[in-house]
Amino acid sequence: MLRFVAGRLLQALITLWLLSLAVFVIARVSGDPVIILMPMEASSQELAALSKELGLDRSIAHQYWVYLQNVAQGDFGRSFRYRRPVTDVVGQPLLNTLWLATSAIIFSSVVGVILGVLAATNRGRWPDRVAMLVSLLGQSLPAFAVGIIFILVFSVTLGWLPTSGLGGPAHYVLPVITLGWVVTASVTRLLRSSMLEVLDSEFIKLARAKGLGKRTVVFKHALRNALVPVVTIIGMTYGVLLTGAITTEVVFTWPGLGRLAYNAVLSRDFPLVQFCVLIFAALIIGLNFLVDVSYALLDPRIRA
Amino acid sequence: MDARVLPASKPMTLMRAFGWMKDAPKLPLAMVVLVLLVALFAPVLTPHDPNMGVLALQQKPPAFMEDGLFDYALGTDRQGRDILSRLIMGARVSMAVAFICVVLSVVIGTVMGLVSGYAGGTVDSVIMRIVDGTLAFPSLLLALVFGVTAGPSFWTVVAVIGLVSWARYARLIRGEVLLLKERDFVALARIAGCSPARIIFVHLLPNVANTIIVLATLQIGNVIITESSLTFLGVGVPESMPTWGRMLDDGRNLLDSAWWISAMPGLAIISVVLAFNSLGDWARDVLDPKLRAL
Amino acid sequence: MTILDSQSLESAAAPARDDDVVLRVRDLKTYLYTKRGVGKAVDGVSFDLRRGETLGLVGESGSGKSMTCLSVLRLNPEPASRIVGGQILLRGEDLLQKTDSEMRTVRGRRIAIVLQDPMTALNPVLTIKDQVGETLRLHQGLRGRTLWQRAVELLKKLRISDPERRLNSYPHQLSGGMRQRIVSAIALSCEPEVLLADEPTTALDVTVQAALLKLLKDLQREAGFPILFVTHDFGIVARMCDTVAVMYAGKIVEKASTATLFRSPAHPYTQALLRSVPDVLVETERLASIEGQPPSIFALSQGCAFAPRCPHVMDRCRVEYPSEIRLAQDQTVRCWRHA
Repeated sequence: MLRFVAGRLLQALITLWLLSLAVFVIARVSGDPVIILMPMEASSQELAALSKELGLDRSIAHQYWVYLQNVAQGDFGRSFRYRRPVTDVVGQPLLNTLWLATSAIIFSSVVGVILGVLAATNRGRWPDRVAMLVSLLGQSLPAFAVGIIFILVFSVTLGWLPTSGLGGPAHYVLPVITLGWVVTASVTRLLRSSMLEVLDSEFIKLARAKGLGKRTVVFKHALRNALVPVVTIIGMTYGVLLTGAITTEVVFTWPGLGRLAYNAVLSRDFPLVQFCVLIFAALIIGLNFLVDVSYALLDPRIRA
Repeated sequence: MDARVLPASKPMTLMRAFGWMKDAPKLPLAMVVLVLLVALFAPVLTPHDPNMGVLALQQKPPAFMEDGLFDYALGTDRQGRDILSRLIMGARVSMAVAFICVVLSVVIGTVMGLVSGYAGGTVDSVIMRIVDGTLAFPSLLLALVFGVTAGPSFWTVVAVIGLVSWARYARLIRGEVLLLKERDFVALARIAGCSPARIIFVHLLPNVANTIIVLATLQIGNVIITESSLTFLGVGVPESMPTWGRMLDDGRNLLDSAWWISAMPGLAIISVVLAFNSLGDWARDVLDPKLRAL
Repeated sequence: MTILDSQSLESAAAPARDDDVVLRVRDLKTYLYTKRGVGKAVDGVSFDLRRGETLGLVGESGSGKSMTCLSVLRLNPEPASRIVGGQILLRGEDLLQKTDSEMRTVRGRRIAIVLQDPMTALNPVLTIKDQVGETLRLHQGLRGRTLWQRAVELLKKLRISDPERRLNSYPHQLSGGMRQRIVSAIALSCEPEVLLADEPTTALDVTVQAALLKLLKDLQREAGFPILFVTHDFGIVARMCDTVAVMYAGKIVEKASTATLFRSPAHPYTQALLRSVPDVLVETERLASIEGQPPSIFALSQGCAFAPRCPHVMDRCRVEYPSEIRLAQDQTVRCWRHA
């Protein structure tokens, strides 16, 4: 088990490093930040001066070396817009996004598992149809459209819930559902089909032949087996959810990392963008690592 | 008989898949055929110029409503442009984006997956780390960066979506190749002196065709949604090319007064994505049930 | 392996008294309901299982033998199939009249089953202890230390070495033969009145198979439970069963004591089956195979289902299903040739 964890950890770190390299290169080749930073009428001398000041006149390899040295000292650059180290700027928005994304993942796992179990155990009857409809709709609408419809119906027309911003639990309802619906959909569908497959297996037949009640058969014997692929998908879609947070955060003006990154892109605050991408990626890679580990915990066959 | 000595189960080739089409769910199939035809013949089908508005006819409701005009069946938008014409033209752009993206990711993903799975060793490790990295990339953010630095364009959108989504193909196909290459027909091909390239493309590729078809069908819906999200964030295809995503976004501030501006493209997105996803589900169940995680 | 070993010939039971009957199945009908129509998977099956007796249920795949087995426990797949008629009497109580919760007290406690494939019959994510302990906990109310001790005892009884370690392992850590012993241990854990064995050794190596069969036989001799043994292997029938029922297309076409069946099979289908067994006893030059395909249970004619493949077919066979004809005290057959 320990070897397994160590191996996966190493893989995760290599992936993260590759990714940071890619981000670095993309940020350097997709456009000259100097031109974007300086006013339109700046002379070529001024441009060269800034380029030198930012170290952009050296080779990419050299720039990367400097960047690595800075990173090793915990210096990820300064935000142009906020005039503070990016590490300072990102803190609170990151927490806000994590709150939102985590609430959404919990919401969608719980709802998705309930719907999936209901659908599989009532195959072909109305709970199955309702669950499948909910999940089909969730997968065929862009999150921002869902968010806009929600705001229109529940905030503007009915006045039940706040339209935007951070606040009490009520502020979470719409963004969480908006963000989580897609994941709910895939969890429901996957759990339903893997549940149906498991319920058809020999060991379920044996469990029933032992005289176990339906609840024990479904929850102790079937669900745990059916959850194995679901856990993977929950982990994998957490990434979708984190990046999906950008549109949801913009729609609900949620002060999170996604909206920060969005504004940073619009204002061409490249050190901040670069750092945001890195944080998102680190989160996703970290999550995948946790998924692999929990996968092994759920399914004893993987551990060997 | 030992299953391993049998030749590889006959892959469901494209031709045979079409033979199966008669069992496909009717409504989604009809929907997909319709939207493809509309996309193909869009320029002849549009009743009005999709980009030219009539100022006197701003925000006209659909024909079935009071004050609606028969000539503008689905109403007009804020600039007095015919929504039906824009939907038709939008089908063309949206389908073009979807298909080019799918082709791009299928080609890259399949080649990477086949090579990774067949070669194994270092090549495999390197490719899989790249795949992990790509899957971990916040793709919307990447698209934003490209969109802002390179300026919004059709090809930026296509490139960004295509470059991010190949990784899923690569990972799944690699998994299948790992299983396939243990089978005897691969060993036989190797003994017969086939080059690795021939084994990969002649012997392995047809066996993963099912996976590719299923993934591709399911991806189309995804691309349409991603494209509309990009447009919403302001880095979609340029204004002159109407896409359903842009149209949806156009009406978002007018939902209470002129809901149809957003509702029509919204409905179009839902029905087409639903249609492609149902077809994908069906294809998966018929061709490759083990892909249920998609 | 010889088909007839002396032991089973001796034990070919003399007709026992009626109150020895533990399980009596009468006219059991389980139909499949699918888009293709109604399929008579089990169509009027009757048999008695007496104390200490082993009844072999033989037939090709799809003949309805497994479905009969599952129907006895009322575990036939629903809603695809339904038991539409008959009686399943366990010591006189009709199981078909019982509620679902009453049925659960029968399953695993009074009637237990060993399934065909030991590789998939155990839950991969639970330890052996969890799975063996489940019935002990449920039906005998055992907990903690006593539960553990009973589980260890049980595994020892099934001649499983190192039971403490096995109990803590997961199914994938055990061999196929070992897993099938575990499945048998679960079946026998509550000292059932009837044991159903649905091709329990089909998936095992020949040597492992022999050991398991001997073990089951020994345990049966000790405890006296009757076994309904579903198989398609006449070798196993010869070494395990006292009586044999041959199934074809949902019906029992011939029933006889094992010795009689091997000596003088009466139904043309039984004869064909026995001819297709490679053996020195039934002297054939080469393996005979049965001409034609087994019939679809969705499109049965009024007549004998075997008629299209039968070498001795008569006009009557095609229009009228043969009634049960008693040929001897220990042999009945459904074939017009014997009428």
